Amino acid sequence: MELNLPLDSKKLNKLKEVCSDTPIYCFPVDLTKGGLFTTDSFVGATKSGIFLFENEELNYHPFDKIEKIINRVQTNGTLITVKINGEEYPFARCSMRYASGVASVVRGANLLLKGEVERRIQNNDKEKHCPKCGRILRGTAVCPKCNKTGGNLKRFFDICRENKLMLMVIIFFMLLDTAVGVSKEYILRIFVDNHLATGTGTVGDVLVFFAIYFGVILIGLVIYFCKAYFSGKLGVNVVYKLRKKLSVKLQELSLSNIDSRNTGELVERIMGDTTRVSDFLNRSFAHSFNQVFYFITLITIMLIMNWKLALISFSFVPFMVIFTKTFWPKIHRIFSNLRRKMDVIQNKLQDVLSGIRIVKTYGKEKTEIEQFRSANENYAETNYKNEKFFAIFYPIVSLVFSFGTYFIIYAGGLNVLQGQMTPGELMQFVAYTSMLLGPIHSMTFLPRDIINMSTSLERIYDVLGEKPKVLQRENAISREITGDVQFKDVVFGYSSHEPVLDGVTLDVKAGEMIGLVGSSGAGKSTLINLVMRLYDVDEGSICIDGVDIRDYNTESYHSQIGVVLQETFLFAGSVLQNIRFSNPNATMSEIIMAAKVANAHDFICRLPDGYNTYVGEKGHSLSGGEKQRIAIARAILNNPKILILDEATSALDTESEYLVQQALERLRHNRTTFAIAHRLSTLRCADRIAVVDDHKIAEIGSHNELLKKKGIYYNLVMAQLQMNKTADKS
Amino acid sequence: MEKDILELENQKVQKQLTINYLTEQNAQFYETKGGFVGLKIGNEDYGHVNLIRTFPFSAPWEFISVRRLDGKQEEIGIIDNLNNFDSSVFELISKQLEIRYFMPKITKIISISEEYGHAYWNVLTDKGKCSFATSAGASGAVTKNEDRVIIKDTDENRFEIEDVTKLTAKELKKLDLFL
Repeated sequence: MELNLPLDSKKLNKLKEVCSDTPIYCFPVDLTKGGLFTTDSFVGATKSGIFLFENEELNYHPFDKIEKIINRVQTNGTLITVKINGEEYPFARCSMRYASGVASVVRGANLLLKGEVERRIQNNDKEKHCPKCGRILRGTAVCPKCNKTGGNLKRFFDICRENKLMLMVIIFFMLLDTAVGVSKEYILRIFVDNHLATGTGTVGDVLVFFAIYFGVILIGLVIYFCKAYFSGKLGVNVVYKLRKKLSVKLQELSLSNIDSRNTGELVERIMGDTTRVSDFLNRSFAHSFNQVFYFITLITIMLIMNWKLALISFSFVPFMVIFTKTFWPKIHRIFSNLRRKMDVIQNKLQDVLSGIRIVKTYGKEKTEIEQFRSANENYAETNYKNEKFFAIFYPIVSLVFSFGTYFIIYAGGLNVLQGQMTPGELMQFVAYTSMLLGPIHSMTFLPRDIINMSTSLERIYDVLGEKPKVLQRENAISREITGDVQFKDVVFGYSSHEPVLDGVTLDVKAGEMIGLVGSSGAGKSTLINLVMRLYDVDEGSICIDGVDIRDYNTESYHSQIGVVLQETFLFAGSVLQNIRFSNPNATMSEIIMAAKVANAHDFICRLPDGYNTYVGEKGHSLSGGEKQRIAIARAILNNPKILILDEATSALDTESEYLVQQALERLRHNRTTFAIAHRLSTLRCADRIAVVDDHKIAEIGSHNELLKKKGIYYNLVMAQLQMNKTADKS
Repeated sequence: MEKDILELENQKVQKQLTINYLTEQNAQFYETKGGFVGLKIGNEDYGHVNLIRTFPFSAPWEFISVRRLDGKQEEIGIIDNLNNFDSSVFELISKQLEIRYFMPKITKIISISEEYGHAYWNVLTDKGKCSFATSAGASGAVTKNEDRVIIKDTDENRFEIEDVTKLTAKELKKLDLFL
């Protein structure tokens, strides 16, 4: 994100008049101090002070009069204050739109205030809005409108291009289908005019006509089958490829990307929307586009046969187009609305099923039923309204179109009586007029189907277009690490205007065990999330063996890390598959060894199918401690160089914890270990303990050193000791 | 020393189990030099304090948590109902709450257009004219509770329509798609 946007010359001159410097930081703000929306306003800093332009009005504070610039994050915006003589004064305000950039400007301004004029703050957040048109950039650097390559129909054609051959085959059968469909009426006309109208026809002629007509119908059926078969195949191919792309994308995206969406929504995009695109291809596309061929062929033949009659039948087409155009936006709205309500139901269901234990424990089944009923009813009601709309809409469409046929029968009948047309020709013309209704009728469905499909494609490409926030650099290094970990002035926040870690510096030697303690929300888990490179730092760097973590190949790096988290997740599969997850090439003996170390082997042996016991959502239910021991086995199986234990033994009973602790103690040799624990006794083997407090490492040292210091750690230890004593007494 | 820590812990627990209600009798709110809310309780001056609505939607003027500004933002007490305070205190506190919970009230919907998975709103608010975007695909961007509608834009700003029934039929039609 650019943090020094150019000021216009008028503002720049005004600024130079008061401080004779140019801005080092300059970022827009959209609120006045009084909280009114404003445009063309900026907050920034020069090397000598901070400034605020509220339109043309300049407010400048030289640094020598300010103690500190503070970014006070509010619930729905940001307030910048300046501290002068111990008192805080409001300086500037902005909404959340500019909060991230403004926070960085404040950090930069504080560095300048401290005299660090060379150091520059950067903001790695991606631009959310297109600088040209202000449209939202969906996690990509390219605006869907400004780059001119957007548009979902283009995407649809791209898909078509990828399946060119298959499409050509389908179009070939469509043309054949049209030819057969049109020729049937021509054969009938010849039969009527040559044999029936002249009165010279025989039973033999009828039989020959019957055989030819039947033959044409049979050929038509075979062609229809081929067309449907290949369209279906195209649909299946496309959905397969889209789902594959989506699943690859989901794995590529970083945690912060996934966190921004909920599971139900993602499942619906992968399953529901891809199915809708496929349905369009094998149903609407094959049918409706076939009808377009019919339409073109029919109007050409009709114009050749009798252009006056043809014009009468076409005269109703504009009404139909106007009719459809008027209702197009309504149709679009109806489908988007319905899709949204379906999402609500799916999310609700997902929520209830995930939390079914809680629902039942609290006896809230009725409330949940009621909530689901309400969402379901809402969907049903919308669906009912939509169906009602379509039930009225389509008959009216048919009625408007039937007018053409009535007029043709009247005008054509007169032509036959005047001898300008044969009865066979009239039959053929009336049949073609009726056949014309089919394509036009279908083409009124086509907008709905195209919109439905493009809405789905839009949602699919919304995910596919997203860029992972943790990117792998070109020429990323893949190598075995030894485990030196260095945090250098690390600043990180899940949203960059609210740092969770602010200036963390920590040097960990390979093989060292670092215990992390501190209150909940202090940033311990965030610290290890950064070591695991689930997120990238906002400022500063993390180096592994002296090389920036961002320079490593993520796959190679992750394969050298072992993780046991507080909330253990086991995949649906056997115990064996779950342990093997970290190292698919591990031998049976290695797996048993890992399980023994994790104190899991004995209980696994007691399971009905041993290591082949199916666990996971519908499998054998394991206790929290058992799951955790499997996770520990999984973590140590790939012989990680960095071991991360986030409350890893918190769900174990005392005996198991002791055994696992012993095992981990043996294991931690030659590997760097980060262990988070609330029970401080768990960290007694740690080489050093880091106390994370107030977004920083407040204390670091060995257990004894920290006790001597009598700081936060000392208080924590004492409080736990007292707690244990109180518990013993009672 | 150990005894002190135990005492401190006990105090913490005790504090955790009680709600310290701030009333006009026991708390004195004042305006700091910078225009923020300051608090004095007895002889103790907490200076500039932080004000948090515990029920920002359902009871915006009740149960306002008053906290220290920095560090762990420890709670000093709770105002159970701001309406019980003198009008000058009410005004002072509500002015600060308005900064924290900046939520413009939409008075007119000029247009809503949908493009590329986002809805672009052009509205008039009590804070002036503004434009913002909501994600058309994500649920929860527009939530309705009785006649009140809260709109959350892609930047996490919130906008409010106090009473949808007061919108014109044309405006309602534009909004209908998102409700």
